[in-house]
Amino acid sequence: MVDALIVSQAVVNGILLGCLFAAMGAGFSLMFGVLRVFNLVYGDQVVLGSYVAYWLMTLYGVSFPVAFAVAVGVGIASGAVLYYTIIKWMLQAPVFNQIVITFGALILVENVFALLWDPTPRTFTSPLSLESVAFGPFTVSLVRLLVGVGGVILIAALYLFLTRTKYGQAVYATSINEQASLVVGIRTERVKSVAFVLGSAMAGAAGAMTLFVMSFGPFSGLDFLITVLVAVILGGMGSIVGTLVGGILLGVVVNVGNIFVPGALTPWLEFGLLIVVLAVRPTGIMGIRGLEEV
Amino acid sequence: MTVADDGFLSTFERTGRSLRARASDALDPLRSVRNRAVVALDERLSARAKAGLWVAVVLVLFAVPLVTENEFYIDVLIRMFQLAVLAQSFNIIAGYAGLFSLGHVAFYGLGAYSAVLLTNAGVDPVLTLLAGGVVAVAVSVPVGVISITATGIYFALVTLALAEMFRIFFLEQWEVGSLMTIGGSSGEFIRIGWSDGLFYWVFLMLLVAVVLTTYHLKRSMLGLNFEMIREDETLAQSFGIDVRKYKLVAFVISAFFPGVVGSAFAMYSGFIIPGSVFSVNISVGMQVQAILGGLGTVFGPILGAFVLLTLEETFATFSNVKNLLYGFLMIVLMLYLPGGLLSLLKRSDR
Repeated sequence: MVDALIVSQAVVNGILLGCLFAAMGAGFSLMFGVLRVFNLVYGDQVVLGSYVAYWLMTLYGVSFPVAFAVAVGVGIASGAVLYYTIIKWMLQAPVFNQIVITFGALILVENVFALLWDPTPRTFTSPLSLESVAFGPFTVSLVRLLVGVGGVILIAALYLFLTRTKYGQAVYATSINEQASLVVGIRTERVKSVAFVLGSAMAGAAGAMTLFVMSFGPFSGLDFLITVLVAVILGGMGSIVGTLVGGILLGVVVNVGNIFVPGALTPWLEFGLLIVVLAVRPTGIMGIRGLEEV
Repeated sequence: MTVADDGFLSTFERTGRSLRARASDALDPLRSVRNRAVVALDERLSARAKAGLWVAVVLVLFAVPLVTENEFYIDVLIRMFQLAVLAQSFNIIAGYAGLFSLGHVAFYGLGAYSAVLLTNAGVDPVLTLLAGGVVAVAVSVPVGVISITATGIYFALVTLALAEMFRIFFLEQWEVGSLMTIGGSSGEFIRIGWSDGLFYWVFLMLLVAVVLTTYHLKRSMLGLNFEMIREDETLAQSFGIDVRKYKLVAFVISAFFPGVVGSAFAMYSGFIIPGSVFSVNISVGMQVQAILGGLGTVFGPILGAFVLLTLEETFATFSNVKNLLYGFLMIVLMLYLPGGLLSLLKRSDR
């Protein structure tokens, strides 16, 4: 029998994991909001962040903050390279072509990873991994707690940037109406590149945090992409707050579902949720109507 | 754009832009020569002569196993036929109906696993072959109903998710009846004892069948409806075309051949694992070959499969390098040659 405590414990774990999913999704959501492009390489950008932080910490014994910063830096670099080699040239292309291009980039990058690194799934075990914290009846692993809080901080930072700073407002305005933004003097071309690079920085940051709680390998990009898609589409494309809601919902469903679904089929939960969301309500919970029509 | 873009890294953009322009200029003289050549060729060949040419090509291909016993050539040709059938199936759904499926590998894998199950149960290989297609069609109906609810990129994502779900399902061992199991990451063996030459003919006949289907589709009302939906869904609807129905029909037709080919290839190779028959790389392969040759054309996907298999056999026997090449081609083709190789042959695209 499954008792209520196990379920509520799973809900708590799910919320924490969901915050991380949301941080992963926020960058993707930002990119879509501004550029109206499905960046299917996003999962690989997360994996890149994970690898960078992982190697820095295991091979060179670098402390986490430094590894995190480098992962963000590499994320920014990857975003700039992607944007100016591929993304910029396909903005006017039909959606059909965009899918092929970014999916091709996904396959390309995954196989470059596979040439660079062996396919062993990796997770980082820190001395903190065994510690746990008690909250009333619940016990939560310290690493999960820190990662969850980190995810919320990342999202909050992005949200504040978009709503409270002049540059962020320009990005936000462009995502709402590109033509009107152009008219009021926003250099939308530049905003697009900034939004893409900023989203890539989020991917790097999220990658540096996922390695504590999720295993990754050269081909994890597709798995991460699916997670990101579910979180973002569930919450609503282009909405940062929506992504947080979507991520937490996904985290809870996955964690609670694991109790009920036979072990081998747990990935079905995520895929199933994605299919249901896409088929039933592509606008998501908090998405802007009309935005889903790419 | 009316606004000057002096964003950082803009040197890269400028280089890219001038490269594109230069590449386009360089192609210009080639274009006019090619146009003249194509016109001349078209004038000389009547429709009947063309048909005769194709029959001759097929007859020559049919004779190959009679002439040579060389296993390598037979194997390469079998794989080429398989790729061509898959690419053509993708062409039916994407090139004609405009539905970009990332999940047609699911039907290939289902065909392969139904072959395992039926061969173990002692069913005749010919029936097994057809059963692969029947299973694929049967599954494609519910899968199609679910996925065509989503449009545009969401359709691509739903099909991708569904195919991954099948792969995950077959990673686990499941009991069938009381004696047999199916699935499991360690894979399964199939033995039927057909010669390679026989398999060669099976694959060649499948290729001929899928080409005839596509050719017929291109000239039929059904195909016209597909193309109408591809070009403008709303307009198609306003003309009284039942968009959902025709999308589903396209989905089911394009699921049949991967099912049969999956079943045939499982019997030919004798060993399958979920990671290979449900690999996302098979879906990728279908797309790249179809796009390289030219989507929405009958001959394009075959040309694409031929060119890519030749490239693979020559340069990229290591699978990572091969997939790297595929990814690279997807990007470059869609940016610079979205119409595929055959679009180079079309008159006056400028």
